[in-house]
Amino acid sequence: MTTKVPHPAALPRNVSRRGFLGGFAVLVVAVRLPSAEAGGVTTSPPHLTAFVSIAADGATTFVLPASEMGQGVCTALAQLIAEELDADWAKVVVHTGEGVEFRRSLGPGYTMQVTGGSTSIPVWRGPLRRAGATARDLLVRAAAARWSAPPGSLTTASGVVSHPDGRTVSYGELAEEASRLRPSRNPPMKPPGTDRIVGTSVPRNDLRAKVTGTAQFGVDVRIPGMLRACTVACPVFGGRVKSVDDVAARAIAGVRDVLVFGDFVAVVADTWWPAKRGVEALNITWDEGANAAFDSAAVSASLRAGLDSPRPFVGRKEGKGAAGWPPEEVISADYEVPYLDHAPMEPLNCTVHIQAERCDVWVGTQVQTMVLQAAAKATGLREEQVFVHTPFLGGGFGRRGNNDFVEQALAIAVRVNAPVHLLWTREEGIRHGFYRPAFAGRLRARVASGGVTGLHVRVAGDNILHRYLPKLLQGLPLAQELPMEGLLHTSPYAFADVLMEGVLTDLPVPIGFWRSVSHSYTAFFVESFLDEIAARLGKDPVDLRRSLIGDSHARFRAVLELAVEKAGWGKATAGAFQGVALHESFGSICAQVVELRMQNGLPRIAKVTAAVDCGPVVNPDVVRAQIMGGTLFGLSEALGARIDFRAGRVVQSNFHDYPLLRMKDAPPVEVHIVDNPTGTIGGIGEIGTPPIAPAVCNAIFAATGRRIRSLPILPALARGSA
Amino acid sequence: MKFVVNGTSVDVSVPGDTPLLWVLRDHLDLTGTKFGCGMAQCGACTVHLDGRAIRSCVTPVVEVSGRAVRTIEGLADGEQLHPIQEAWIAAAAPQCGYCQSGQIMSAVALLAAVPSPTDADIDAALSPNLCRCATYPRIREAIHRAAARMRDAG
Repeated sequence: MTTKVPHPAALPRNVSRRGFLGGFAVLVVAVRLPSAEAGGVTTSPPHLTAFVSIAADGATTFVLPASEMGQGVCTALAQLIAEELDADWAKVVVHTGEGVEFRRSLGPGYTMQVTGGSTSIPVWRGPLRRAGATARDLLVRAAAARWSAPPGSLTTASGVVSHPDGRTVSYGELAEEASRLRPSRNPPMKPPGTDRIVGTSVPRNDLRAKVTGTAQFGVDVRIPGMLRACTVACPVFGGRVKSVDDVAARAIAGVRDVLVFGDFVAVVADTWWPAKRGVEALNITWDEGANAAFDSAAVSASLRAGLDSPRPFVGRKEGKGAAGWPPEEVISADYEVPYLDHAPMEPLNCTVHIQAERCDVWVGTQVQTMVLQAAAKATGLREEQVFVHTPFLGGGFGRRGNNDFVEQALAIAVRVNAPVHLLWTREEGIRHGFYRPAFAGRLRARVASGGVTGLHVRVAGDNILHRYLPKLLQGLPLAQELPMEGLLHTSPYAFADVLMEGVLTDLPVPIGFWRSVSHSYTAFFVESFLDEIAARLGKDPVDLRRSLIGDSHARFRAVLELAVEKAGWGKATAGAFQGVALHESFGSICAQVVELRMQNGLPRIAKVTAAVDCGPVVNPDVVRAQIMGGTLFGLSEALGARIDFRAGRVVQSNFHDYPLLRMKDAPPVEVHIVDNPTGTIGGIGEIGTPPIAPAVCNAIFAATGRRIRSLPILPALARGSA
Repeated sequence: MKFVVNGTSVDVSVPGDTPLLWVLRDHLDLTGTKFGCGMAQCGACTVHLDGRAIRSCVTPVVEVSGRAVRTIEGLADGEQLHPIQEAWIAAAAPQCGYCQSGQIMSAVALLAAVPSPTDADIDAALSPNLCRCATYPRIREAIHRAAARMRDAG
């Protein structure tokens, strides 16, 4: 991902303000990340901006710096700013941001606006609290001036400033005066332990819109005169259009045009249905290119060859590594996971309106800045002339961090003299993903005299970062560590000997960031293999973990103990079996205990008990929802989903052959939060996903003695071998 | 083509094989009903046809000629939400929210037919509706909650 690093001299001031909308919204506060304030050169996290504005009637508008894709940021981030502002929560209105506004408030020093990596709360907690405090301080000083009172004598609550003598004035009445004051660089902040909005389960502010059908997603954007487009890209990655017979497509009523691009063809129509029928009626000859014979067997062969590579990258080595282990003391197992698609419920779509001096893009995106740059490039306009509007995202999970569908929409719009709404079919979405990469793992342990003293993990697969980094930087350790997330410093287990290795493969499949990224397979590998070790040693899986958690990872103990206590570890109901897993990702730790029973050879999961430590909690109910959702998202993939290739093409195409979890198979997920208000704050959106596959597989092993070493589980069980 | 949507008669001129979903979304501007798969696999497009839950993405509009269609926009009575919508809010069921119109329409049809559904009834009626955010446990809770309230209200 490219990040524009501002020159320190070009940075705007920490806090800036301006009135806008002719006094309607009169107090506006913008904020920047601390790293940017200090002029520090950072590539991650990216620098973002946010607004709060207060209108004369007290309406407090908060413009979201992150995209709302279900994870609850439109509520939780608003809580942060409202807390320090002492806002009247009932008057807080959240605008799901128009990305360009953030950039415009900051001048030339902006970098990336991006939502991903479970960073929204950890990255924004400080800046948004400070923005709220800055606004509150301005309001208090405005009231102090009005009353000729010392600012320190005044108090605030729920959008009102109070004088000791009982006089009060509302924020709305003060906003105009406050906007003329100079913001303080060090506004007073609330002392710890005095929060009244942060830390409480205020209801999500998007619920009513989402139960009445009025929430606007990208797919619902309607511009007067808008045409609809549907596209089909070469089914073989890297292939091109050779020729197109579009006679039948053009004969369909409502079809306006057929446009041919390098690797895809678009049909443009008055409404979407004829556009889609037009695509089906096209007779396209493809130049399939170099990957026409690629298939899933080639994936497995490449990953297995990677496991045997003589030149792995060493990500972590302790003690003697894996050297000198006596063969009779070594246990070893190979694991494998397939490619996976994000499959958000809202099919990919993008609306573009190009005018003489202006381009508007409406898109559910996780990367507004990349959209902005792509639009400027496609239209030849300056970035200041591009306006990116972010409606609700009908799921993201990393897929909407890619710009491919946006670039298609822009290319079409450049050639069509009208606003254009591009909507992909589900089939196009599944066949042209940026998939979670397939990975293999070889795990080895040294076990002797009742204990385990060494762990050696080697993983092999493609590196997502290679899409974003020039070749020269791909070999840097930091880049090579990405596919090994979860195996390095965040792993809680201590062994005398540790060796963690990565081998890079080079497969012709587009890959990308998928909810929990590399943790999705490293947790499966390690947490499954720990149970293999426990079985070899005749130890209880929880006891083995207790004995291995290192002193520097004490936080993990509390999480594990909370999960096993609440689940009643060792006390499963008759005929049911339990499995456990523990993993840290994105700064938070999650332990899960699965209880299941086998019915006709298939697992029926009765319940999942999860414990999580994410440090301070902004909204407990959102945390519980995210752990529940993240867990069941992971269960979906653990059970049945995979992307395969045959003749260079993705085999799967829709939900009939890319099966996701349904109501009848969804167990209750009980979530317990470790009380850790002073700890380091971590992410929450992706944390539930990694532990579920190993927890389920460990429970299946407890029930059947069968070890599942390749996902998804159901086909592995059906094959009758692990 | 004439039919009734949310109590209002409409007349659209489209080919009869056009799916009802696209007539609702692109011709009648009722965008609460969502497109998810186009082959009755995900339930995002669920609406009621004469009170029964159907997948509008595979229902040619000719089939609804002269009949009554109800969409998510037709559930609330002005500002007064349907008890199921209220239960959905109380359970904080939605995350991304995209599938929820379809989930709610399936739940309304279920409760109309089975006022006190068991978990097995919910499994049967709601399993056609996918939720990628996997909000299923809260949807189940919301349905039980709404059923209890609707029973109490008589």
